[in-house]
Amino acid sequence: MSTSTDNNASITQESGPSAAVQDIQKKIVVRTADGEVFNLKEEVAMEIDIIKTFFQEDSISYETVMPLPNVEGWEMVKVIEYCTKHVELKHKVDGYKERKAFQALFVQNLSTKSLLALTNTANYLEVKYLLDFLCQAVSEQIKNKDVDYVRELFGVENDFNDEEYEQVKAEAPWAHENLNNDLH
Amino acid sequence: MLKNKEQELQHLPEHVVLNILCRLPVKSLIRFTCVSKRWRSLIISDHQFGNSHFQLAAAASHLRHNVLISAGTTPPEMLRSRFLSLSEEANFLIRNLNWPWPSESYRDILVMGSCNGLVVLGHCNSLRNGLNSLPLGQRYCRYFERLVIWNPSTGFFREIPCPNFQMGMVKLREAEQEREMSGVCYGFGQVSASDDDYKLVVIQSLGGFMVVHVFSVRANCWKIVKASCENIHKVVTRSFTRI
Repeated sequence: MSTSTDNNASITQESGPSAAVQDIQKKIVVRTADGEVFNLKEEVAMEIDIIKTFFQEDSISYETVMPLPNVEGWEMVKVIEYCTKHVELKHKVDGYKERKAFQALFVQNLSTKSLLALTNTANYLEVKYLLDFLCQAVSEQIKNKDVDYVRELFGVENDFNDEEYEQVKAEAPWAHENLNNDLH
Repeated sequence: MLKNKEQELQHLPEHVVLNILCRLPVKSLIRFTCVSKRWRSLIISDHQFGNSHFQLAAAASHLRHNVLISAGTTPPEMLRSRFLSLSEEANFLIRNLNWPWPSESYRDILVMGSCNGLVVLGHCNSLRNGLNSLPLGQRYCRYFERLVIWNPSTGFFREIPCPNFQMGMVKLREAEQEREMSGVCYGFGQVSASDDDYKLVVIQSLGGFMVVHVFSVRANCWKIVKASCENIHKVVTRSFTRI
């Protein structure tokens, strides 16, 4: 493959002794389960521990496309969105309000089911602060829901028989009342 | 896509489920013990979870007020549990509570104090220790051998280490030890609302002077605090008002 020594701006630039000294925003490429390919800025990619480990531990070249078989395209979009904002706010002194506003918008159009899927993904990708944020968001959404809702959401099977269920429910019947109506 | 995702969610790692659960208010948690046997066991008995939720539960302001009834000397046949709850929310029905040492004799349990819905219990096996033959001050010390912080509304409890009473004794001559251990007083509470920590304070009275032991729930360790006698009086008063 011939190298054009003038062409320093392209990302397909071969690395090696003739590589440009000029500032190129290093990119890391990943491919999600549905075949979508994402170019991440290096600083954003390094927020995602599974990606960081992959490239740094074995000094794998950034030209390698990292496969992410457990991640859907839409999830990757959201993760990149969050991590990009996180990196941006790192350098800001007083980003509290901005972060809160961003977080509110971030979850706005996500169903609880999607939120949970994203939580699972954040765990797989190993982005701790995103995982914690999403767990908090999920807990807010489920705290006033009944047992059936939670079972359906988490895909948990009820292994209590009728008698057992009535027994455990009877331990604190007040905990099963006034749901979805609470102000908190 | 949805089908795969649903299957995947069933394999949500336990620590992620815990991460979500530990953020829930007490009422939700208690309700979710009915979701499945696995969830029930996670919520009730997982040690790590109990610890991380401990501070959350203590701060839950939406917990309704209950009255804790402690059955000290009533014969066991009359009441099925050492501790019962009288709840305004449950139409003043009396409920037997699950508590840390259900198989122990009622007499061997001492309620040390309570704060924000948390109760400190001490236990001493009276038969084994020949409690009745000891002078009163030393008798109370024995209850510190097994300590637990208990949340009656959720059933969570956490054993805490016992204080080192010998540390104070070191100062006295051997001959004086038996006589001088004249008493111990204690209190449990929160030093300030903003500090998410509870302290158990035990003041060992050793004749002429006092040794103050302070246990921090968050740090999970005991410290001995130096205090002069005038200050002791203030500490004691402050501790007791928090119970």
